[in-house]
Amino acid sequence: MSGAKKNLKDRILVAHKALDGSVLNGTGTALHALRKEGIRSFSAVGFPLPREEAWKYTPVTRWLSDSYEFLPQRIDVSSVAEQPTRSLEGYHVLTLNGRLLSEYSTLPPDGSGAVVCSIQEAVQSFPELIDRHLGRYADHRSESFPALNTAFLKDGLFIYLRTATKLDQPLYITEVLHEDGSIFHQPRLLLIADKGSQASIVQICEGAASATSFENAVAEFYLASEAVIDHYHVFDRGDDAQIVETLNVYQEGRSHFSTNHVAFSGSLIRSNLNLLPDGEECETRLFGLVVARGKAHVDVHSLVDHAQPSCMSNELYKFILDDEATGVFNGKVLVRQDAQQTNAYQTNRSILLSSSAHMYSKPELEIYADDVKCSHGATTGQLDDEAIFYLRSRGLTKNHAKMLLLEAFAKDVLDLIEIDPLRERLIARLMDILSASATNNA
Amino acid sequence: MLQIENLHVQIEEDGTKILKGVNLSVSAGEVHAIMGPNGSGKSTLASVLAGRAGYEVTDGSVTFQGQDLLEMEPDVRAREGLFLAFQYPIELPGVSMSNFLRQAVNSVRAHRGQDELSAVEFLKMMKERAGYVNLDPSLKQRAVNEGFSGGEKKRNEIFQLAMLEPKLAILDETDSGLDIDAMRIVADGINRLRSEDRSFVIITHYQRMLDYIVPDYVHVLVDGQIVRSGDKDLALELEDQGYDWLKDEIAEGTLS
Repeated sequence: MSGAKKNLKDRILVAHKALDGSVLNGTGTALHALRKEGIRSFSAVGFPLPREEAWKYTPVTRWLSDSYEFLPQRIDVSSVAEQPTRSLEGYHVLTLNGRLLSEYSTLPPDGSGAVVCSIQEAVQSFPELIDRHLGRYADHRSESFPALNTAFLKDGLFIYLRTATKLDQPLYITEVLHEDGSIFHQPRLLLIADKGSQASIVQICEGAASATSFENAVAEFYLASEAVIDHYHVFDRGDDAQIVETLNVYQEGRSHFSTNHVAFSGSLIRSNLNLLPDGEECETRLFGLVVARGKAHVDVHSLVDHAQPSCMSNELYKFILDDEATGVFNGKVLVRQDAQQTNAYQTNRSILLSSSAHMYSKPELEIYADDVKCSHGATTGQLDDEAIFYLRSRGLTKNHAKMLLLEAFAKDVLDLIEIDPLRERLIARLMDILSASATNNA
Repeated sequence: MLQIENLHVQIEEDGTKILKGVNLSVSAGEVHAIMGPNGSGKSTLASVLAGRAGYEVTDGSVTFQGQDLLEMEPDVRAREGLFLAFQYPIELPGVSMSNFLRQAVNSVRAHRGQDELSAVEFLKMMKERAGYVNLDPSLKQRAVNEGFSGGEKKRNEIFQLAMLEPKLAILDETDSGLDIDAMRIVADGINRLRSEDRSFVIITHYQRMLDYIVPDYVHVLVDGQIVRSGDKDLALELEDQGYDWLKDEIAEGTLS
């Protein structure tokens, strides 16, 4: 296996050489310099190996194949059907294979203070912002996947909220894939929220992805002081989808960031969430719901790095695992010596519906400050038989009883979604999945 | 309504024999009290009737409305009209009372060939029946039993009984842990639900609840067998003399 993947690494290096001189050219010297750094570090580190602690339970090379295209040229825009998410009230950004399709998007109007454009355009229009923020938060110097993403960085999505901009409606980013062959997708997102700006950003990854493709997504968020960003990310690309996503968030003082990850389908989903509240009185929240069935493998790796005093972080992740699904939760909270009066909480709860499902939960609390309040807890178990019996004794079938309990378990997270139509849509989808699951197990 | 014949039950896990030949016949509209000392098998009887897992019936039969009760899944028993008020009601975090009850009521109604209740009808019924046991209307918005006091949990059981309108209600030590005022409220609620075609089996350790709910029959369960049956006076006798005199009589063989 490692031999074959070594081959993949070599192929990547060859492909990069060919593309960097041609297709990737003309996208500005800023991107060129980043690409160079990216390929240099990818060349050095390669893909993560299972012996690395952070990838112990997710031997990622198992999901990689040898024959990817790195910059697909054949993109069929006509394949972009009307997206179901379009009906949700808000601004809508449509991307196809990571490329912004303005003609299919409903962007915030001029004068709203919000700019949504491609990274290529931003290189021209906002060179100083690109220079200051792009590649500054995701670690492409030592992390494989950000390095690889950065090595082929040509375009992506750029969102800029000017000082004190308050976006009146959620901004939905629907990320559609068009696949003609085996494609290594590498979408990139840069969000810059200037001082006091506020927005809700919803990333929707829906529409089936093929088993022969792979997605390596990188997002970087910069929150200036007093910015408030509520982020949502929905993964529902079908049972074959393979995704490694990296989200790095840098927060200045008194900024508030929350992210709510909802994973409903995928063969592999690995999330690397790195939160750096680097100013006083920041608030950081990470919520997640994972429902995994079949042979799905969902791994959430998070780091909240408290470097400054008087910040708060709260993390709640719930997993429902059925069939032969595997869940991994590795949540690290680091409270550095200067981060006095930190309040940091972390909870991971998992329910296994099948004896073949597995959950690996590893909370890590590292505290170097002495005046802090921190807690963490992790539980993994089955549905409570006595609770099922109680519901059955009131006339509900066994499946019905289980669904009601699972719904309650999951809604603990989904109820935290503050956008009503989005929450309702996700609850409806959850109920579909649970009832299909219950029928299969009947 | 209910015929229990020669029922023998043991704990599945370790084979401990709990019920050793129970016979009981309950007709429509009757209220039967089953009393007995701790460990005599009262709660096992309630559990077996409701279909709780972990018990093995080694002999005997239970017929409910002419059907073999022991063959039915617990939810089928409920839809057929059997209700168990739990001794220790379960807390269900995140499951709202109204959502849970609406689904339960409608499954039972569908089984009986009745129409589903509309949201308005359901809420009206909830409000009315919650009143039977002075249940605070705000409890309905909360998760099932979560953060309820002991008394509220017991009243909630009777409230659910009122909503599901069973043919046979088994009350497993509903009086335990209740102060005298709470017990009166619960008893009033139960009395209100008595009718010609609804039967009750009231399992209790103490006689005091029977001051409020006057039973047609009282049975004494000792060591897995009903050793004596009588009318409400038997309960008073037990209250006076405790269970020891019965145990002594068994030891002397006068009862066997």
